[in-house]
Amino acid sequence: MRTSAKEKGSSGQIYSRGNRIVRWILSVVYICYTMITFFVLGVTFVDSFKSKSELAVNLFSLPQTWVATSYATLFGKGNIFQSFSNSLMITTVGTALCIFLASMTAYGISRYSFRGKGALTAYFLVGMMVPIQVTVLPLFLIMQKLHILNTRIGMILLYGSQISFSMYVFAKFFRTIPVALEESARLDGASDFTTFIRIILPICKPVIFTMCLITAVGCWNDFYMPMVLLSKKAKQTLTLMIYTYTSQFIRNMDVCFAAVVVTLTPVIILYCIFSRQMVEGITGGSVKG
Amino acid sequence: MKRKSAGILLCVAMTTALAGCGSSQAPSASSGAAASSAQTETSSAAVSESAEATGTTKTTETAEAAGNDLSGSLTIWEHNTSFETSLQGVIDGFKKKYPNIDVEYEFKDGDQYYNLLNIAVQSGDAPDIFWTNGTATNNMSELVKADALLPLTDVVDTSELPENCLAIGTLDGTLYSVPWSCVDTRACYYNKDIFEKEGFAIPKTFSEFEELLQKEKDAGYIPISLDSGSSWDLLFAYEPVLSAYDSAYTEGLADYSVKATDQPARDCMNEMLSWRDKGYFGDNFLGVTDGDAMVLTFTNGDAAMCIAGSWDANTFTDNNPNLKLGAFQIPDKDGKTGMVGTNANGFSVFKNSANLDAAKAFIQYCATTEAQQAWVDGQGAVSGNPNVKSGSEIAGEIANCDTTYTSWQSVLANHAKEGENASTLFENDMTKVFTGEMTTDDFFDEIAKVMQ
Amino acid sequence: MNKKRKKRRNYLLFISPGFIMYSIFIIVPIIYVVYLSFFHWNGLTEKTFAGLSNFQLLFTDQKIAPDFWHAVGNNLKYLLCIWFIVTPLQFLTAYFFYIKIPAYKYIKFMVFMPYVISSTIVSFFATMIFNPNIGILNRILKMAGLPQGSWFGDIHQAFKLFILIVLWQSAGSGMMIFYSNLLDIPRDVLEACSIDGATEWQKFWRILVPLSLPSCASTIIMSTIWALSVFDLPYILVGSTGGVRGVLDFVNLVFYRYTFGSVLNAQSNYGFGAAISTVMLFVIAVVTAIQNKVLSRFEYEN
Repeated sequence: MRTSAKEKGSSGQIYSRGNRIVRWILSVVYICYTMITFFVLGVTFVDSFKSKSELAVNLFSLPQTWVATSYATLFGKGNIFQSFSNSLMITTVGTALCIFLASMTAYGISRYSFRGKGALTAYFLVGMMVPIQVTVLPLFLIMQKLHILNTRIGMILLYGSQISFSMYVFAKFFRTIPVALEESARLDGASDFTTFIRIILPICKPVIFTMCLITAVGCWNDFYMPMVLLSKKAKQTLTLMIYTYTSQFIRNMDVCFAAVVVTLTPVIILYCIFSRQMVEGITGGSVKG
Repeated sequence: MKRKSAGILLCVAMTTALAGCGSSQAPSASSGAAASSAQTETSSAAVSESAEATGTTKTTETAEAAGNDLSGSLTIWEHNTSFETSLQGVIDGFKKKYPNIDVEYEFKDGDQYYNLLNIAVQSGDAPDIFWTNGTATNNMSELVKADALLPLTDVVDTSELPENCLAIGTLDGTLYSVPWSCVDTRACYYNKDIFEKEGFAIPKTFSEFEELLQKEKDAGYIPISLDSGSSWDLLFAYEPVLSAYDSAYTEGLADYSVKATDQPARDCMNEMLSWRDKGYFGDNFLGVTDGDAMVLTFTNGDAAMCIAGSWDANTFTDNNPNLKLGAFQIPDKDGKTGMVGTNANGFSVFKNSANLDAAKAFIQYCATTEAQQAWVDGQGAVSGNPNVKSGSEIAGEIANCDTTYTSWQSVLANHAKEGENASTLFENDMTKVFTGEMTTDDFFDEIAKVMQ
Repeated sequence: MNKKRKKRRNYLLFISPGFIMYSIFIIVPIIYVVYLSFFHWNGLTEKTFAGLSNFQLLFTDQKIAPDFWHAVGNNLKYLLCIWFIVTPLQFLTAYFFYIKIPAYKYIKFMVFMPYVISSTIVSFFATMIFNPNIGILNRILKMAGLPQGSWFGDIHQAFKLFILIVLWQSAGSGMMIFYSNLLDIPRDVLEACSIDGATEWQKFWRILVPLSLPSCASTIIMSTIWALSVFDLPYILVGSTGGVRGVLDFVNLVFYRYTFGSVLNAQSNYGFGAAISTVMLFVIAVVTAIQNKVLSRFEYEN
């Protein structure tokens, strides 16, 4: 009864009345702010059910007649399911590879001391300093030499090796984990690798899921690299397929809105799943002492 | 025998070319049909002739059969997804003749196109067929220097294409690409509903045009929808205005008897800047930073007119199918109208292609009226070929004028000093003139320095 | 001692797979670009060695050098905005989620959302809101009888608007990382604090900020790098020209303009573009190194 009447903070402490008012004010401010996003997404959703000629003159109000022609056009064109499965495969495998490599590298860097550690950390940061437009030409050449141009495996390897960002976040995070945890596992005779998989990874679930989400969104939304490195029709990703509409946004406004709804839906579902996992990660993190 | 049929070919080509020169309007349906049937005959003759040259078959029928047997796979690169309908149309027609050849296309969209193409060529693994902008930019000549393009003069029978179309694909007398019969021109589009409601009429002279702008402004419309963020969008408005502002000067650009930086060009730019100050491009013109915004302002009825490229006609009607779109060319002081146009280039063949025969067959097919028509239809473009009908009704309105002019920008590209590129200067700085960062004279002086 | 030696060997097992992949796909292309900056190359014919002339052109050319320095200035201005406006707001927001303000789950969801919307749609909505002719903002102002603006065409407003859109569109990811860092702060410390009767304010400054700083350092360094290599958002908002009087012109836009131009008239000049990138790489590396030094002072070792 007492807990339901008053708010419970993260540390289980009960807030005073003054604090509660401040919290409500903050919440209202943020809710007002989220109205912008709500408005943008809502308009996108509603507009995907408008006809072309209505869209041109009437963008922000409800449609006079709800039509699904834009979805029909979108699904009628090419093999959207093939593209979808390409996207799904590249995104999931690429993200998994990237997070796996990044966490392993980060563990190696943050848990072992060796000469040149600082230089190596810096080395892994360099990858972030140059935008993809700069390096796409040499990349094209390399992938051609390796015979992975225009293949899904090539894209997966490419996304998998973009570990700078996640590596860095993981490395900083691993340093905050007490060494005592691993020591006890080692005493039980577990190898370093087993310790990493069994003890370390479960502890950093929140970070893993956050990084997975950020990486996966990046892979899913990327059209630039698939456009340059994976442009065969049968191999193309959903985002690239939809890019043919969005690159001529003004000519296909109706289809574009539908396309955004179609590409956003999986991301939103993914986000819902992951944010739940992140909360679970916290309760699971009680091992940590 | 061979010489004779070549003679006939030449005759037909010349007559059609002459017919094309005579009228800038699309030919009537009946004469067009007659011409194209004649073309089909000569085309089959040409096929048999080329078959003879390679020594494989003798008669027309077997030549066709040989085409059916041809197999292999082709990869085509295009630079923009907006050509997909056209390209698909051409490929469909090609597949009917050569069912055993697989054709795949890839769009290397946007600004990386030439870079990727160059890299692919250098590594020896280039697409079999690809687009370049021909003589309009120096990319094709760079590729020729690198010995990457198959000379097409002796490979392709171009009898179905008018002579003037071929120029853009020809370098030092050798044909390196088969152009499309589209004329990329500019036009002044107007909203017919607004014109009807307010009683505006299409201007007959340049001063009437300027009066019209003021009338539109007074009636509460934005007279011309234009964006300040892209030098190209500004150019596509500047060129037709220049041709109307001083038609005699613009005519001189064709043979470079006048310089691109002479006083009329400067005066015209200043005239447009005074339009800007009078609010003819909208009161907050500087905030219109992209082409999408320019199009939307016109299609949703806020602006009465929009000066843009002929390829934008489709964009307007695709954006708002209910828009009643009209187009005219701005008249000069005496009422003479003309269109500023450049021809569109098409595909070239990679010299070291692994499927050279299939690639030759494809490029030959591109040179047929049938393929040309498919391409023009897909674009809804203005036809530059008497045998090919314009792709849409509005294209007819755009081409309804007295003469054609050379594009001011193409003069910058073609008459710069060796090793310089004046077009890059315009591309970088034209927006600065319209945003007031640079004066007209500074802009033109800078260009004059690198011109011949 | 035996354990120590084992450890020494094992780090290779962890690092090498990532190292190899990362080197092939990320580092080799960058080295190639740096190498190219010493050449004249159109991508097609043979490269000709140019020595430092590409750099000389960049720093001394009457036209290019001012453009470049102006863009560098904008990058630094943007960096300051990221440090002193965007990052604190991100951290505060993460903190509000951490203390579970009412409806925080919904708010968290919506605040992150713009991050997943593709840039095409973001640019379209920017047009629909800020375009002076058709945008909803000017319409509302007109109805209210207020003076209308030209927004991104106004040199006094463009940069502020840009920061607002950055906040809206790309602050979500950093915020999520701050949030998950906060979640990892041991709870017993906070509980001990509460028992001692510390206020929320004290807890925030004495516990949460210092304890999450080491892991937040990574996010701050990342956003610094991003700020210096920003490209997407200004490009879609004002195009490659960098807007009126280059108010949103950044180094990567300069690179883009001089390397690719437009497809209609590209004169490939890859060596010069590579030189711009190399200079910027150097600047970013220096800034990051200094920052890393400063931030690592706050770190605590176990």
